[in-house]
Amino acid sequence: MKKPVKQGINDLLNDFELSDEQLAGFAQLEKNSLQTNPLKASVNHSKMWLSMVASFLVMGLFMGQFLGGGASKILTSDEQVYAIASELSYNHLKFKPLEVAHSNLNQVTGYFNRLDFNPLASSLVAALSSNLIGGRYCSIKGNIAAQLRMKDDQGRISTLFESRYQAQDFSMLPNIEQGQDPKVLYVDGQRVALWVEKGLVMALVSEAQ
Amino acid sequence: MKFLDKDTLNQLYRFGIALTGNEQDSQDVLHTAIERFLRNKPQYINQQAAYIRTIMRNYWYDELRKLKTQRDHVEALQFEQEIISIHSQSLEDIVIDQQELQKHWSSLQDSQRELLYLHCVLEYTAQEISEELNCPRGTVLSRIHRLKKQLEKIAQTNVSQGERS
Repeated sequence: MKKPVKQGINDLLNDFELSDEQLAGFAQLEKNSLQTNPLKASVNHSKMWLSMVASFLVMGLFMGQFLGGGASKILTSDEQVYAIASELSYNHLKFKPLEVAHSNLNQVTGYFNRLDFNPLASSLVAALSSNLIGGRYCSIKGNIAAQLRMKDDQGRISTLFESRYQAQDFSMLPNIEQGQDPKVLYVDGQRVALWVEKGLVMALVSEAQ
Repeated sequence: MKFLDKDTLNQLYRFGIALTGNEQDSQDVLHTAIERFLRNKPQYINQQAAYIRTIMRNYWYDELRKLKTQRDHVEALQFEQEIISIHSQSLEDIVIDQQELQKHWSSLQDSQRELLYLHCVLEYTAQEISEELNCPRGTVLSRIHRLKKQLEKIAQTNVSQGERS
């Protein structure tokens, strides 16, 4: 049926609508955000606090420079590992939509053609009773990565992250092929295990037992 | 939701489809944009939908930039400075078959679909589009001009095919 372009575009796009489930997901997002960042009662109060904090920061910076502490803080390797674990835990909990949904590893890894490495099965994950449900792209410390989502028999979700090993970013992580144990941390109620295997950085995030 | 009602979310979702060309990427881009919007003290943001559209656009072009195969395309969009001497361009006088439009929708460039959304759905003028996209009005007019030519071609192809059959 012929119609003006303007009407055609409107008709074409109006066919798309968010499902109730997707709308509920956005409502949950806002609810979580309000719990972590409650609204301030007064704009004036927040402005006053902002200027006070800014003043203290400027004073702190000035004192730091003056007393010879001008160099920026260098994170210890434990702090670096914790920062990576926090990033991964956050990505796991965000539960973003899968870009490829399949239970076959070859089918899922075949999707990741933008990676500069080949995602592999890990010897540590193979021992678990979880089943692959799909994957999507993500990043670890700014490096492109794959996340593979798994579900166990009791419906618990875990995520395996994989990225190319880069010494400048991941040298603090244990290499299981050299007999080292994975580094395990607990962040936001999640168990995060990190290790290096087959030239890849791997991390498994699951619910803390 | 407190800040965004169902209609606004659906409008943003449709903008995402116009921008990315598919539902999956639209949902992803919208999700990221809402998260960033909520982190940025939404109670102090006046034009919330426009603000979220800007986040969606920036995020999407950042993602495209990561795709090496699309790098040239994005750079061409960003550095497009061609201005031609047209004072007004309108898509309203083009009549097109709905099925043909659907068929060619995904083959349009991201920026062209976005332009169609702003022009046809939000009914923005060239001046308003140039303010939203932060680019010169002449560039917007030149893009509309090219888009019009492209759509006319699609419409004419369809007519000649119809005449042959």
